Amino acid sequence: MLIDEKFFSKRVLLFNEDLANRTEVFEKISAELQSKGIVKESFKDAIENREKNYPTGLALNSGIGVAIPHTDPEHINENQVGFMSLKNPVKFRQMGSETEVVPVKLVFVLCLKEAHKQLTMLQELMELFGDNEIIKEFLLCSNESDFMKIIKK
Amino acid sequence: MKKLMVMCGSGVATSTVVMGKVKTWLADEGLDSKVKLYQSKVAEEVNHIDDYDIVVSTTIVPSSIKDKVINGVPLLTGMGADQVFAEIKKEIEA
Repeated sequence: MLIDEKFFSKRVLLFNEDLANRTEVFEKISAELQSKGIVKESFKDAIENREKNYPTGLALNSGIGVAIPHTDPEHINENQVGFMSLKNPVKFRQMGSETEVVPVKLVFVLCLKEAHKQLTMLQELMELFGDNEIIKEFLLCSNESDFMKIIKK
Repeated sequence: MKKLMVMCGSGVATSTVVMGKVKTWLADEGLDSKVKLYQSKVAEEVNHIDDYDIVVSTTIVPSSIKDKVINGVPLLTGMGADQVFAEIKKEIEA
């Protein structure tokens, strides 16, 4: 198993979303997470603010950009990871940088109540970002069952 | 004993991953007895930065402390990780 599937049990999985910018990405995924009870109402503003101050875009070896937005545990009800793939890349800023921009195609929203205990999942996720083949599969995948097949590999 | 601080925006997610990588690396290098590890968020450490010998961050830090901080993002993606470890090692041995 690539990542423990319990983090995807609520199936917040959105494929090939046609969105213009970061704000639209956060609006869409936050609404989905909130409707499934995973995050609190405060989540959307919290995650947007945090991304402004501490960007989470990562330019991978493969040339693909991913982002791992996350925010403080107080806005979270339940440990989950939300996924969104984007039809056209959306600009995020590179983690740790004030100026670099990363065109992002894959977004993994980390909803964590106590991240210290989720080290394994976070490590597995980072590990997977280094695997070009898996990244390609995430880009191509267009439904829940295919997505879960990748996760369960 | 050197004090090594790993920090990120929230002090929970990416610093946890970097912390794990640093721990493993220290053990592999046989340096784990020489370093004490701390983890926190940038906002809380800005004024205490001098309490630590080595500081690794995955997020932007205020320009006032920039020179004292090693960029830890390569430890997340693995790209350029060796260089970061080399920098940390230099500080441990300094």
